Amino acid sequence: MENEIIIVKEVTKSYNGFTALNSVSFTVKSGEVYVVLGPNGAGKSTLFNIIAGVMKPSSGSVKVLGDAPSNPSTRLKISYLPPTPPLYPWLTVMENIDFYSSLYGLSRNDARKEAMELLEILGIKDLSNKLASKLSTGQGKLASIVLALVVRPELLILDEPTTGLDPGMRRNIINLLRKQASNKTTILMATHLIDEAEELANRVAIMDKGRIIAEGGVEELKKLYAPPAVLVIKPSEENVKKASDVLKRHWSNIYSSNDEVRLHTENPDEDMPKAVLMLSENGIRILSVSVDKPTLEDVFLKLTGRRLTE
Amino acid sequence: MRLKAIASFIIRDLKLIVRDKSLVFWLIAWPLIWIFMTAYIFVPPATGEGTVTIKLGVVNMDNSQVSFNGSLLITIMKEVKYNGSNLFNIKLYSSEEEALQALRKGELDAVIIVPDGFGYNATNIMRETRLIAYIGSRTPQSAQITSSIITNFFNGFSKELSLKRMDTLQKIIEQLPISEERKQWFNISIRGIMQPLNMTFEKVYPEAFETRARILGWYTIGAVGMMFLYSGFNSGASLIVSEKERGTLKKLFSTPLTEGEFLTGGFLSQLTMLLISALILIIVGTSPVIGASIAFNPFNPAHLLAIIFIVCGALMSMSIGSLISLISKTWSSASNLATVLGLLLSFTTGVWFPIEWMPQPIRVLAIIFPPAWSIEASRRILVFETVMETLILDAIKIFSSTILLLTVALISYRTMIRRYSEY
Repeated sequence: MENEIIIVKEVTKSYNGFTALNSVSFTVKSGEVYVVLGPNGAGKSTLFNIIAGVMKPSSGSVKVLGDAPSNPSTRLKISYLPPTPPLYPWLTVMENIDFYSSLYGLSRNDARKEAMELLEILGIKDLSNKLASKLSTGQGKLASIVLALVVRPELLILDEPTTGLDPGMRRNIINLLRKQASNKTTILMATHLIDEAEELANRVAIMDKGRIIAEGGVEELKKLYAPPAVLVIKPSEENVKKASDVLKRHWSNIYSSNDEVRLHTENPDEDMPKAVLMLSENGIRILSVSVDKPTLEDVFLKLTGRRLTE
Repeated sequence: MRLKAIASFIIRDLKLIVRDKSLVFWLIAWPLIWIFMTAYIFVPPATGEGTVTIKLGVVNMDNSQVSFNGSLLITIMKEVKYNGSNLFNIKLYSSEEEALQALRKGELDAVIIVPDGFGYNATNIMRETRLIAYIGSRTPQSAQITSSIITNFFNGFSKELSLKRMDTLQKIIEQLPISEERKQWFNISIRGIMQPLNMTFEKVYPEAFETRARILGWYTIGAVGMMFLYSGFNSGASLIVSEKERGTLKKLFSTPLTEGEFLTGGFLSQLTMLLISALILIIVGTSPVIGASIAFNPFNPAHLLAIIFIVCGALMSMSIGSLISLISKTWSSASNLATVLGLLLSFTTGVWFPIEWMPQPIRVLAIIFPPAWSIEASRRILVFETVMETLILDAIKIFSSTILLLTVALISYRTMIRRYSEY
């Protein structure tokens, strides 16, 4: 048990008659990247607030680095980044870093040296003397990542660190997190972005409606819950619902979104021509058809019947 | 408690003073505006040396052919001087109706009617002399001033008339065939009848109000108090809700920062800002531009006590702000409520306007409002130069209420932290 950095046992959190977390249990091992995947409102932020020690559970227990997360000596080894960049608008990026690092007892010079390296990796070195109020949302997120990493935590807790970023910025953050993970920093991260989870996670917990509905390695989860293949059909936009209804007459594992219909299949070679024919016979124009490997999105679809981003 | 963490809050917020224009306005510009207005409008230069001239309409209906009559009264009134200027600017009217019309139009401050027979009656020791005065009201204050000046002038005039009559009577008594002892008795009795009360009046201001500089000193301390009330309320009310709305509260409480360090750091940083602002106000107030005079000697224990009282005033204002935050759901509502309440209380509790200007029921506020005690006690020390011995009761009241309010603030902040960390 020594290498278990986070132990969450039967944690429930209720307020105003609403149950945000319902008997959640899991553990995160040292050096692991543990991704909690779930749609907005699944309870990820509440769970992270409890693990970071800023919120108390209604019942159950949490241990972080062998101690209560509210203990200041435990917090010294944790760095938590909430979804909104916690920057003071009247301070520059570097002054924000000075402020937070001083709360960890770091010397200003050490913190600044470390921060400059991180800012350079993220490609925002020139923003170090810019006021936080003048940063774009993406720049604010990147600066916040530096805030979180500059204290060299043993455990990094990131709540939706890449939401609202452009692909280039996201790539920079993911690369930086991979580098941190390779330096044995344990990372607990919440996201609703499939590719991010698949790329970074050693283990994934899928959350929905305050519960962890599946947990394991990415491939393990796919093996357990996803089909061997996914037939992705893109009809014209106005025909998505009609296409879904037509295909449901023959298959049960049909999931549609705004622009596509996904058919979970054991036998794509047989099902693809059959599906195309059925749609053609019903006068539905098809823009594209492809056979894809299943993703964690398909795991989520299988488990909940809904898409992650709905 | 780690001093480095606490100091980091002070450094963080000091940068806010130079970078947030609205904060600079409320902390420094707004109270300075009031000091400037006081120095150049409410208590303008040469206050106390100013002149007063009453616009007086006179209707002289006196036709007495005696040594003293209405015409002579008008001549005397025209020559009366106050601080080197004529006290009365007299305009003659031929009829009472015409004069009263001018008074109603606001062209005059007062009208005096000198009735026929005025001179005859005035010079006859056995007759009553009558005059009629109408007081106008060009501004809300002018009626009071005019009435006071005319009453004082004619009281003085009446006294002089009495003395003249007394002299005449004494001359008559001298001619009477009675004993010297009897004459003496008559003289004393007549003096007693003519002048039952011989009172002399002399204006004695508190030493502090002898000069304009000291009056401005009074208002400079008032400006510090006013700034404490709205800015102190504001910073106390915003301490936690601002962190919550900025999205920094949860980040702060995920760091090794303890609740005690957070509250101490936040409170001290706000206190530092208030005290810097107070220092700037006092420096500008006592500069030649304003010319306020404040007594301060760093070796005088009473003066050091005044500084402690000022700090207590700031702490109490911030503590009261914490209560405002309990009833406000958002940062802007807390801030708005704090500013309005702070300004209102600064005008009604004797902090800015003298409490004597307030109606009796509102004066209760000054009695029950602890920050006003600290400002009043500081004024007594720095403006009225009260000695240490008379301040013991004030010190007990101010220190105990500061401790009490800080305790209340601690409880309310802890309540808020619990409330906010739940969502």
